[in-house]
Amino acid sequence: MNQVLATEYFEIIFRYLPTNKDLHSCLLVNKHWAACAVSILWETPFKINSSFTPSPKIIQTYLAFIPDEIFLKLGYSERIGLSITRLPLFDYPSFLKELSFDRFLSAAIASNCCKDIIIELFKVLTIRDVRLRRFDIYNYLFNQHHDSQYNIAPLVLPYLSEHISIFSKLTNFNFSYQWPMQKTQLFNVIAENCYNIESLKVSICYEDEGIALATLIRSQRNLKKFSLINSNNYASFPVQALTNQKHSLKSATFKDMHCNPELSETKFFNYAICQLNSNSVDALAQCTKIDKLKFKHCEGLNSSVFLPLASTFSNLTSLEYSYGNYNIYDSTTPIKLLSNLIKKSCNTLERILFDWHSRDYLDITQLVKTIAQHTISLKHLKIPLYTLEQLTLINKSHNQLKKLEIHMNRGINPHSVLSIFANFPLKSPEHSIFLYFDYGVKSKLKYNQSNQIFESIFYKSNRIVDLVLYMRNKACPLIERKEILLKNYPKLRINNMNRSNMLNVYHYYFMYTDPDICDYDELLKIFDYLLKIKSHDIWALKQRGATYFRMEKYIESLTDLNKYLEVVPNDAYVLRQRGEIYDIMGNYENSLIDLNKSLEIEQNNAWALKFRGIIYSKIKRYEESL
Amino acid sequence: VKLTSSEGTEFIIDRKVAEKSVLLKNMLEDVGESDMAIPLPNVTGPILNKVIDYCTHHRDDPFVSQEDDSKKVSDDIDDWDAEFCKVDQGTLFELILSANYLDIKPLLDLTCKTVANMIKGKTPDEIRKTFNITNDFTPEEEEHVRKENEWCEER
Repeated sequence: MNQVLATEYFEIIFRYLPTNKDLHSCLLVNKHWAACAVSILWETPFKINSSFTPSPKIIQTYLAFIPDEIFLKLGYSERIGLSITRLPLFDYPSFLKELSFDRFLSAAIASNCCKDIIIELFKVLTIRDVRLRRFDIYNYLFNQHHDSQYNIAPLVLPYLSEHISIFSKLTNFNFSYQWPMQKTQLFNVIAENCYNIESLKVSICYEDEGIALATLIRSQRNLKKFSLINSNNYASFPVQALTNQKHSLKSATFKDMHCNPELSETKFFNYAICQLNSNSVDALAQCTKIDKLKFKHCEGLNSSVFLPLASTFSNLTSLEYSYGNYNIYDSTTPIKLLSNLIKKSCNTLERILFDWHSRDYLDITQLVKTIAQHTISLKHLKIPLYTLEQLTLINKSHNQLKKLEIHMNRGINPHSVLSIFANFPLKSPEHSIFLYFDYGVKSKLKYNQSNQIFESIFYKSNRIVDLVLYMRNKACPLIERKEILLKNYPKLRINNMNRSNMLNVYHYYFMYTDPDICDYDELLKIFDYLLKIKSHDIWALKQRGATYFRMEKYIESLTDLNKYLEVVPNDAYVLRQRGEIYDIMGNYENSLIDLNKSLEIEQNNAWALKFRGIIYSKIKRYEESL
Repeated sequence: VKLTSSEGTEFIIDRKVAEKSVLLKNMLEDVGESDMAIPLPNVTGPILNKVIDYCTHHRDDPFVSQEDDSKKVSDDIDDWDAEFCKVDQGTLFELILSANYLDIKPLLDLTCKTVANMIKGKTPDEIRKTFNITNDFTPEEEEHVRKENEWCEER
């Protein structure tokens, strides 16, 4: 392989390897492979996927590039890090492309590096003329070295401001560190030396920082993403500067932004209060190439400030809005803002992700209607729902969805939810559904009922579905004989949200006991109502027919399904269901007709084949008994 | 469009198929339609045949821009492509070289993914066996590499 393929091919191949572990194996194959693998491994050694702590061992290797005498000069009795007799095999520091300042510091502190040694480590990088493409300084909260990091960070940062060439090729700059720290100097030098930043994440607390950042933004040639995090009023300066980037800006994010003074007193976060001025919002509204807009943890945000965006942004493909920990400051304006944004971009929106855990009932039916009726390109929807009616709206009109995530709020019967999906699976062939149940329903989903429903979802219909149920410990419906269900339905997953997020403890208020979780009356009421408005609502007919079937009211079920099949004669799923009813009624001939027809439409449906087999054997016995 | 492989075998293909290759696309745009065969001295006949198979199957695929730097994954290969890649190692490597030479990005990605999948989950020794590679590290050097890169073993 070595003889055939040049180094450049190894690079392409190695980048497809999913884990560092695989790359590590390549490293030990031979010298040529090692040379190719190290250059990739050491580009982003501080990137972490699941754990918060980067391994201090990275620093051990970097330390090997500092000569013995420097350690002695700085008061160490011997060198720290790898004990080396000669220089390492590869020039590891020269490969660095992405540096996370916080993780670097915490790993260095964990390796007993003092401030001066950390500066020496930076020297190792700058001497090699390392040019970063990405630099991050953000809050690295959950970390045992947080205090020493907090003290050392401002002391070592100026070294980098003086060796600016390390930033000259920067495309990704994240300075969302939220505690007061002198950022102005770094912003100023970057503004003068670096013009290719494409993604910028910042938090602004002081006037001079805001002004320096505005200059930095104006000096960029091609800014594509801008995120503003927990900032105060001085953030208006940089936001106003965004008009200079309106030719290129594609994505805007606002995170942890608040204007509610009450929230600052809470003990979890030290929120700054921010009200962007109207000039800056007008500037943002001019950036009409923006197609991704995101508001995250913005329960204290005054949404009315952003209403002008809804009249100019018409190309959004992705819209996100979330809040989590507190009651929302004002619940009507965000809904108005979101509705307006959705209406304006209804042809282009592919992704709508709403996530909030409000203790109070929010009237979002209009918002759900807007989504259900207007968005024609939607692929991924995440939304909290409060009523079954809202769920029916989504299920009814969103066949093209590939991914649907629903957060069930109190008052929605989980059994009814599942049965709606069982009766009417979405049409997209590869879609997945994620349902979050984390409200306190102290009740059981009975085995027979859930078995019936999952059988419909996974076998009676011919769709490939991934159904994932998320349950929060202690506060979710119990599922009887869960293990058996999981074994019978390999595409079903039930995940426990064990890491009960400290910040979301409020959910546990909702403990109440539901006498009969498998009660279908509420569902029937909705379908009755829909059919009263429009007697040929085929969606409602199919749903009601299937619901009657589950209630063992076969005659009513048959009436609905017959009516449905007059309009849609080739629905294999309903044919199978009617076949099942005929079977129960002892009418095996009709049952066979329906099953055969359903098998003409979907030849390989295992459920129908199996069921037909059972009926054949029944008929045989019937004949025998005659 | 006429193409000649390294041994001089001539292939006639649709322009649309040829344009999957950025190299050929640019050539055709520069030269315009002509009866002259385009010589491809770096590609053998059997390999060119495979490449044409690939381009014909994927002729209607939209051109994907390489802008998003989302994590590359190696397990999203569809059935046809997986079948296409069931060839001996020599052929696979020649396909990689030709895909690169002809500048057919999706084919290059596919073949490299296939090789990555052959590496995935294996120990260094198994990798050496798979690709018939000799270990040229001294035990001492191997120990050094192991030590210096210890951090990535943990994830």
